[in-house]
Amino acid sequence: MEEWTALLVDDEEEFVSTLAERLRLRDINALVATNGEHALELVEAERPLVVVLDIMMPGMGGLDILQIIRQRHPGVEVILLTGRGSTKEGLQGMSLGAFDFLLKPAKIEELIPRMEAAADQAARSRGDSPK
Amino acid sequence: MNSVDLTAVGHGLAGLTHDMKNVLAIIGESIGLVNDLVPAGPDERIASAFERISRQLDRADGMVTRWNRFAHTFDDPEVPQPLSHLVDQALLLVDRRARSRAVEVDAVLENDLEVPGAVAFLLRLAVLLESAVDSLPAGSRLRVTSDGTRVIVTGDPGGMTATARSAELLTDTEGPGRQVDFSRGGIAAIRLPRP
Repeated sequence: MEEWTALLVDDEEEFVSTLAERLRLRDINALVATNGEHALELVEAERPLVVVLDIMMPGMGGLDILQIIRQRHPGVEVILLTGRGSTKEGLQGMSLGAFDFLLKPAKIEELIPRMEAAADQAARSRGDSPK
Repeated sequence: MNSVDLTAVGHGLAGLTHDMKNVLAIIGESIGLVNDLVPAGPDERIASAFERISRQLDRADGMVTRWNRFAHTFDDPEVPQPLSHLVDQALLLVDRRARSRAVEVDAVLENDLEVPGAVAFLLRLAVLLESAVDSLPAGSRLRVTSDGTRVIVTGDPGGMTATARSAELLTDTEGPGRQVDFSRGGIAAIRLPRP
């Protein structure tokens, strides 16, 4: 599988940078943002296929960022990470157009197949060949 | 404690559990990265240590997740909540105490229903369960059931015949049931609030 780009968004810098490192070891070009504003800048500039987005962040929350991405960048798929012990917010995110959601902390073996499925969907919607 | 106080306590606990989840996530990803970069090789002790850390992280995450759910029970103390959820939360509150006293506690609820005044009910049930756990000898069992109008807590100290059980029943209009002697096979009930 050729390398493709994903954006990880979480205010916990040590979490998101370590996860990004692990994804790079698996041939996913993982970018990192620790707030909503930076995330939207990177989506605009880098056009990742997939954004993995923490729901609970200070300032602009994950569901707000999700809605902006869905409006401005229909060719970008979003996977939500929710730290709450229930699926309530994840289901809310799905109704707002998220591709999928996972309870945090998600195992990388669980996360990558979802990311690949989302990347396939994003590539198809852009008219590219699936990843 | 009024409902505003309880909501504040719930928010505080929810924030704490959220932060704990983030800490666990950082530890998990960091040990995962070490495992990626330093394969275990032939030394089984390394693979065993990775496996142990992973298992304990899962254990810790399970605990934090349960306390996070508990915290969100207090989001709105007046909103009706499922009986099964409230019983789970009451069991969570007495879980450690019961294990330390070797008392097995479980719940068998055949039909779920929405309970108004959920938080007040939860706290009463937790107090009742705690007094039951404290009064039972090691090796006993405590079971939570419901007949649709009450939640029934039955102590089974083991080794007793059915006729020897006192089967005390408190319908709980006056108190939380502290006077029930669970060590003699007592039964206590809390009437479910009506809508």
